[in-house]
Amino acid sequence: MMNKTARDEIMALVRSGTAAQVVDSGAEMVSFDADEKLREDDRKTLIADFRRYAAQEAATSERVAGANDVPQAITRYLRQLELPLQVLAAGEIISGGVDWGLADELEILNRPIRPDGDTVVTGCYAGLAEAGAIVTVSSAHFANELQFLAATHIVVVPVERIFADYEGLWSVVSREFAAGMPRSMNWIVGPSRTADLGVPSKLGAHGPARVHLLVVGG
Amino acid sequence: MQTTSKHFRAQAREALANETLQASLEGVRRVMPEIRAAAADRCDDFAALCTQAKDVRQHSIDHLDQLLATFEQQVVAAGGQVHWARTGEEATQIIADLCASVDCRSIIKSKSMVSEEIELNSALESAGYEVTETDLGEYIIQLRGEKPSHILAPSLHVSLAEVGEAFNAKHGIERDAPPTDAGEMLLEARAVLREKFLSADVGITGANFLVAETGGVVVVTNEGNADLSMSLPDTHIVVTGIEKVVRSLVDTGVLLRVLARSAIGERLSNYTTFVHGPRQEGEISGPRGFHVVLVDNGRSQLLGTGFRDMLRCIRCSACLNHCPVYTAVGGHAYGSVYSGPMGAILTPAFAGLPGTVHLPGASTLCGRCESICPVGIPLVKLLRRWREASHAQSLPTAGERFGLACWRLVNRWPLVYRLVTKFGVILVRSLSVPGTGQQRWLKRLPSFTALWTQHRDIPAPAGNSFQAQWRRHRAGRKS
Ligand code: SF4
Repeated sequence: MMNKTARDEIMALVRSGTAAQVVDSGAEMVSFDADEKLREDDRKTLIADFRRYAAQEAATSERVAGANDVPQAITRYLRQLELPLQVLAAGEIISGGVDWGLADELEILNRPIRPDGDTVVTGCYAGLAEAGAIVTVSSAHFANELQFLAATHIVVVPVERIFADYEGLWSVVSREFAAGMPRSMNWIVGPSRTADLGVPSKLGAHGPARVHLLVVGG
Repeated sequence: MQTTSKHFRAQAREALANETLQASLEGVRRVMPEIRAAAADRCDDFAALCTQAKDVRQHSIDHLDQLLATFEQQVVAAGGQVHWARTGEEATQIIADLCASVDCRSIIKSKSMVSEEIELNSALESAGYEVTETDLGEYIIQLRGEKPSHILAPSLHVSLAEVGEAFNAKHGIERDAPPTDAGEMLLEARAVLREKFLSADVGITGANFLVAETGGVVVVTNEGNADLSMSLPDTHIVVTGIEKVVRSLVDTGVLLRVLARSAIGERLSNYTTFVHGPRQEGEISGPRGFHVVLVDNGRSQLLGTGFRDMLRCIRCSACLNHCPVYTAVGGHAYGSVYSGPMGAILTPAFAGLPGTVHLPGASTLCGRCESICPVGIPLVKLLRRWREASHAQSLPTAGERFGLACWRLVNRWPLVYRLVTKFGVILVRSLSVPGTGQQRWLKRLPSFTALWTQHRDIPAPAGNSFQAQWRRHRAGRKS
């Protein structure tokens, strides 16, 4: 009951406060841009920007031709860093799936994530060239916390899902999530970092210390 | 909101004598304006971006009632709950009740200035809950029992050695000496906090923005601690101010573009999360309870006043980093969780002018803050407005008021002005000592004016005023 009163009181104050100075009080709610109008930017530039801005935030990236190259690329990356050739695969990595059998040395773990130290491979909903960020969305198939609990996060990014800017993303989101937004949409650029222990900032504050992007196709 | 702002002078003196703090502030002065300027330069037209951002925030403030109502509807439609708190106490009570209702024992928190404003931690701890801050800076000051000294880098005043000592004292790890290596400390904090994340019942976060059209809560961090705080525990509570709501996702994108550039000189912070309600059908993880606590605590009362523009603030901290006063004395001197120019305007609004009257005075009115504020807040005008209000309420001391009356007298009468400046310059020059070339310096002034030279040397004025030189120049041209 107290809360109802609080709401009413706050809203009344807000209303009288806004009315005091607003001429146009009936502005329409601007909704998503309904039609998808992906910029016609050269895809090559998009991909280059995406990788460059991700690199500025300490993410590494590699281009691979198709989904079949993903397992080998992951193996190479882990071997280079002398990390165990074991990964947890979370959610749909790429439409059509990945044939993990193509890299015999790579072990796909079938266990819950450990508190720290695992490598997690995920797909992504989109890439944002403007910021070098990847976008993931939680779903029945994807427990999004895995990407924060991992020590190393490998993300598979199909080139056709890289958008030039935020507006490009929102226009697709408005169509694909017309029925309701996912619980969690995460934009991630580079590894977790902190500036609280001096300069330069340190990587791996809470989330992964390494983020590697496998840009597929194009 | 509790403050110690009335002790601003003593706190500032203490800050000026604190070498650790001074070294950190020197870093802010040297680095932060430069990285922000570089980020702005890399944009095609940063000024245009800022104008867009200002328009977005202005729209929010002008339509706050509609946007809040829509936001509430959408949160409820997504399965969450919205709670309204008129005051800080009401907000802490709502949150304590929510924690009790889910039989909570331990709480993890990501950084939220609103939670600092309403002193949420102490309220929850008195209610018997264990609360752990997870932003590393907040965690450090929590271990040391301190308040934040910067809205974005709360432990700015703490040296690495002091962090090591705090970890040594609180982590219960057997060792010969406190850790000194930053990498080692990072791993230690990560391990300690990981345990807390995995065992917490409730996660509390703030919000950078609220999206009306979708009922979304947007949280931005670089560490990823907010993501763990809001995805692992079974209940997620968001505590934020009512002014944070914006119209749409598109509008949020506009604000994100200026936020990271202004705050840390980056295109985007490492983690930006848009969260909509609790765990959805079919999901195997995510909190089952999702609550948004909307805090007023004085904000709605600003709407109809001359301080309305301040509600556009997106807490980017650029005005702190560019302020000659903040970067000289740091945040604790202000005696409020909000410091720098934005704090000097918000603190009197939230805590009342009588106890905070020094803060609007803690500015040279140089206008640097205003020139870089990404949402175009007229900070100088608002600081002046508080000064006028404090004068109208006779809050400055008798000495200050006498000084102002003299100033007014001198400035109203050209003859008095000329005489005072003429003899003033002679007097001041007689107190100066020679420097290199023609320049003379004031190194030590007498009596109460000694404060001016206590922490810096001041160049002595030239022998003649501009007006005198101009008169001579004109006379020379005529002859
Ligand atoms: S007043 Fe402007 S510059 Fe200062 S924190 Fe707010 S938005 Fe940033």
